[in-house]
Amino acid sequence: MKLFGFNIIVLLCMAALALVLGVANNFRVYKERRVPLFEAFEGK
Amino acid sequence: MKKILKFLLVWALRIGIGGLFAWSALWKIEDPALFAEQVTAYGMLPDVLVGLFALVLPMMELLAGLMLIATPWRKEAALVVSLMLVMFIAALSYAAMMDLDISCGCFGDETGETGRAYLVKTILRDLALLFPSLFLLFA
Repeated sequence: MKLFGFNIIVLLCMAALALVLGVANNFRVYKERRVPLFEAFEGK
Repeated sequence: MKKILKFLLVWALRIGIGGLFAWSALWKIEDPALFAEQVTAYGMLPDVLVGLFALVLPMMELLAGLMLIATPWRKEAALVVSLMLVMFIAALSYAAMMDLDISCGCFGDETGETGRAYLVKTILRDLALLFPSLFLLFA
C-alpha cells in the first residue's frame, strides 16, 4: 500500500518494531540495574 | 557513466548515513537513562513522554540506519532519517535560541562541550547530513 510513493506498511512496521524494541530495552535495563520501569527515564 | 556515478554515490551515502545513524543509536540504547536526562535538559517534552521518547527514538534511529544500508526500502528509511534530522535541527535551534547550556546528546557524552557556539556547530553538522538524506529520498 503506497501513499505519496512511500510504502506505508513498511513505515508502520518500523514504528511498531521500534516501540516493541524500546520497551524490551526498558526491561533489559530494569533487569540489569534494578531501575523501576520508566521512573529513571523521566529525568527526575 | 552517469548511472554508475549515481549508483556509487547513492550507495556511499546509504552506507555513510545509515552507519552513522546506527552507530549513534547504540550508546542511547545502552544507556537510555543518560539520554533521557539529555532530552529533559532541552525542556521541550513533558516528563511523562521523556521516558518513552528516550526508549523509542534510538530504536528508530537504529532501524532507519540498518534499513538504509541493508534493505530495498531506501526511500522509506531516508524519509525517517530526514524527519529525524529536521526534528534534531529544530530542537537544537530552540536550545541555541534559548541559550541553553546543554550537551546535544547526539553521540553520548562526547567532549562535554556546551554553549551556543557548540550548538550552532551541531546544527550545521545536522544540516550537512540533511541534504544527502534528502538526495537519497528524491534520487
